[in-house]
Amino acid sequence: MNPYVVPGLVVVVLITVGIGAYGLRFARTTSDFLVASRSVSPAWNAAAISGEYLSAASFLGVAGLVLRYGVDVLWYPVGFAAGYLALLLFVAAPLRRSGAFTLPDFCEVRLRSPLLRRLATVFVIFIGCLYLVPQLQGAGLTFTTVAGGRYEWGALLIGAVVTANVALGGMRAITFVQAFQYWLKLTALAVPVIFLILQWQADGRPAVTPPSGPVFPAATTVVVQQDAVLDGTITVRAGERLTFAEGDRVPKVSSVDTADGAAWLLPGGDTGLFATYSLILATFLGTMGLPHVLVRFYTNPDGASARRTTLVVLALVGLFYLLPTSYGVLGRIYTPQLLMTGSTDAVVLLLPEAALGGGHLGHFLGALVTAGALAAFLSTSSGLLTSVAGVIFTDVLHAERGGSVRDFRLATVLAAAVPVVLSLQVADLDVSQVVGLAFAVAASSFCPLLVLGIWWRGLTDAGAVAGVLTGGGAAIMAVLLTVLGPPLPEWLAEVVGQPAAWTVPLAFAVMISVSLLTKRRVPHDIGATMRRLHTPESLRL
Amino acid sequence: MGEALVAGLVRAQLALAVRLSLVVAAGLGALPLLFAVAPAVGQVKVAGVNLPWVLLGVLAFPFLVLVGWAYVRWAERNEQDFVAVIRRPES
Repeated sequence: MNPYVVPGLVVVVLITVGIGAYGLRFARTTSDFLVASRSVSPAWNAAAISGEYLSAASFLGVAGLVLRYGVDVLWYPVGFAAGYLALLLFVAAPLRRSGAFTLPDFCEVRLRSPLLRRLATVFVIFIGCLYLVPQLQGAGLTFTTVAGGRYEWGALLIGAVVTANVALGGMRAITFVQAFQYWLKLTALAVPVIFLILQWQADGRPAVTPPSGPVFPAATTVVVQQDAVLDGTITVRAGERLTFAEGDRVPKVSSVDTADGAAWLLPGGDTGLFATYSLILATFLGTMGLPHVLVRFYTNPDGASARRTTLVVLALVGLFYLLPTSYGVLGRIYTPQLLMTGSTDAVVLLLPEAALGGGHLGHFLGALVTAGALAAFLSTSSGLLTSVAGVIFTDVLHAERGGSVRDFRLATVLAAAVPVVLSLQVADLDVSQVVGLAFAVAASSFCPLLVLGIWWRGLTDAGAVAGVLTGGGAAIMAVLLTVLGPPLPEWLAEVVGQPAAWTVPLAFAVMISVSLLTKRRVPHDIGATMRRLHTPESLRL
Repeated sequence: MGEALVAGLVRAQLALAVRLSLVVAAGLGALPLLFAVAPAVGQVKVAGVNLPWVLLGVLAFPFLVLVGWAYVRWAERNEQDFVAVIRRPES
């Protein structure tokens, strides 16, 4: 085992807890715990938002998808970044000016409806859990891949560290922790990639898509994961060990879905146009509906700074997403055995040692990417947990702004319990798929609510409730059907597996038509609300 | 503050946001369709790399930042204009 990994992980956890404890000195009131008293500078805030956003799906999943499917999945990172542009254009400044604390708060401010507020609470908790489970799962899988430990211990360890950190320091501490973790994640991918590309040059630039398909760069033993057929001829059983020599062609395993040759290199291979546009819609519009993303905007001092912070976030996130693609591409050359086992999400973790050998450099860079992966799980799960706990604190425990810090800690433990238990139950769920579904649910519920609520005077509480229930409800049904349901016929699987292309327009249509039918219910103070959302703070008396 | 003035500001900001999202829809959103209609585009190579990889893997990100930068500039200008109108002494 790599001797640098354990010290690297310990350092990350210690720094996280250390900065958390340092932040604790500033966190005195409940408002400190929830939104850092709105006094965080834009640079810290932008790094923190980016650090929180770049999850296991970004750090490990994107490279794994590129390795497996090629150019078509580049829409994931583009969409993850473009989501911040949609947020900037339609939501950032007015949302900050609304003065709301959480998404349910926004419903209250704009539509004065307790029913809508409760509905929003349910959706925040659902999306939060849906997004938290794969983070803990990713932690468990990394623990298994790198340290050879048990899956459950990895998931439990991250769950415990994150819960303790959020419960003790709240958001004030988290802002600094998240900012540190953004830079750690960027470094952890950027430094190894330089050495990897140099090594690729030194190896005589082996082709990424050789005409005969991927070949093994060195002698490799592969343990078959599931009963399968190799190249359509040889039957192998689970647990069987296959040995390949350097230069052998990598056989195609029937149980693992991959794209090869032109389908990998050129767009439009196996993915239909419907699925591509559905994915684009979900990621572009889903970001603004993720609870842990929105809660950050309340920490800006005013609307204009919320806008500038979002622009910096867009740049930081875009900078990060330049990196994972190279790992996926180089993985075709140096870790082709992952195409046989199907655990392509491990490519970022395994590539440094596979390409650079088991010397000090390979070990050191391997430990660096593992530390980055740990930072990814820690930061995203901390952010999610803070926002879910914040909502439980105000809407389920009914604590007011002056509620005690002890209540917030109770809310944190409650919020962490369900996802941790769930993550122990479902070890074999596909990480990027679940994250994609969380985006689809957010895009079909909170996105129409925010966009129409901010820009359209005619939105009514009845329209909002109906739209969130039909659009968000349809997306949730699609999620449950995909994750738990039986295998579906191919055309239906595409429509249900990537639901955003029909659930988002559905939510908008229902919200608008029901609002038009219930015109009398438009809040009487809509003029004042619109003025508050859209006019600069300098004009307020 | 007059209701009509606020409605004018909201319209101006919304029009700006919608115009810039159309720019993104045309610049990025049209790509899957382009690749499907004209597969030859995917074969074009830039510095040894196929064009779709360059567009989606690299150029998409600075493009998004550029659009965002333009938005922040123009949205702030809209607000400054609004503030100037409000603050203008009654004449």
